Amino acid sequence: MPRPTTTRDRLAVAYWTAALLLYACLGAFFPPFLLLGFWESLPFVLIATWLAWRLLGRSARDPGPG
Amino acid sequence: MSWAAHDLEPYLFRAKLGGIVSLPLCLAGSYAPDIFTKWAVYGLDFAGERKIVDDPVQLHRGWPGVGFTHSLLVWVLVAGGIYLLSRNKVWAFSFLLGAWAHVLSDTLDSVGVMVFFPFSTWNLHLDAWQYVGQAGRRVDAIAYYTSLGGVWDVLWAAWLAFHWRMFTSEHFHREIVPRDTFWVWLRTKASDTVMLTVYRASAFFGVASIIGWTLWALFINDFQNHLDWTLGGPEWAPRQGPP
Repeated sequence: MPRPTTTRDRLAVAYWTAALLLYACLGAFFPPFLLLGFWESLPFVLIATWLAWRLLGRSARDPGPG
Repeated sequence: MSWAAHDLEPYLFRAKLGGIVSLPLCLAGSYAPDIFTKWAVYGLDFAGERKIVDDPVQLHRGWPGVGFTHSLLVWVLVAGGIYLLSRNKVWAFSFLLGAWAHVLSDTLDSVGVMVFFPFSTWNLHLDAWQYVGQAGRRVDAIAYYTSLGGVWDVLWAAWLAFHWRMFTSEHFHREIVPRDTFWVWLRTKASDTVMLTVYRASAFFGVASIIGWTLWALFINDFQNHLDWTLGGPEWAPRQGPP
């Protein structure tokens, strides 16, 4: 059984949905963002991942470092 | 050909099969059949006007050509080589799984693939949508994302959405990292942020591609900007069978 969904989980889903839509819109208006492959999105995903921890903090159950 | 499905399929395999799948190797396998040839198929520009080869279909899916990159046997050999070099059965299996998923996904278009090469040069093609790669990346994007090809990508993305927890940092550190020596190795070289970026990037790009290309094809581009979910569509696309 998956653990219950927390408020932080919901915020994280909303955050990443917004990040996805932002990148998709960048690609829609400037197709080179979507032309070649996932490596094109690495800088964006790196910044989004870094920012997520600053905005949302870490989950209490997250065993990762930091 | 398929677009974002190749970015997303490995995540579903990892979600369903668990630790017998190494996500990085499965992704490598999923990209492998096209990695050296897609640029030559599409030409040097977005519009497809700067051709590199006279017959992109023959090059991509035929023989003579590099159509052998879309056969089942060639990836068994490559996976065998990965096993001999790494002695890691999970890596070899994962690479093979990703490559076979790519090959079998590409049977859905009108050109298909030489699944049984070198024993046969017959192309298995299920004709769910037209292969339009020969017209360049711009027209292919329009054709793919307004046809059943786009639906195929959306199905993978929707299925993946049910597994959203696999993208959490908690899941990554608890379930993914300890069960794959690739991540254990990367942990010694890179920060947590970099590792999560590498882990999530292909899924992020795949889903963003579906949304972005669909928006572009339907609302920004002004050529054939309407959905056509007929089998073998879109109707306006040039009919293209096996080479």
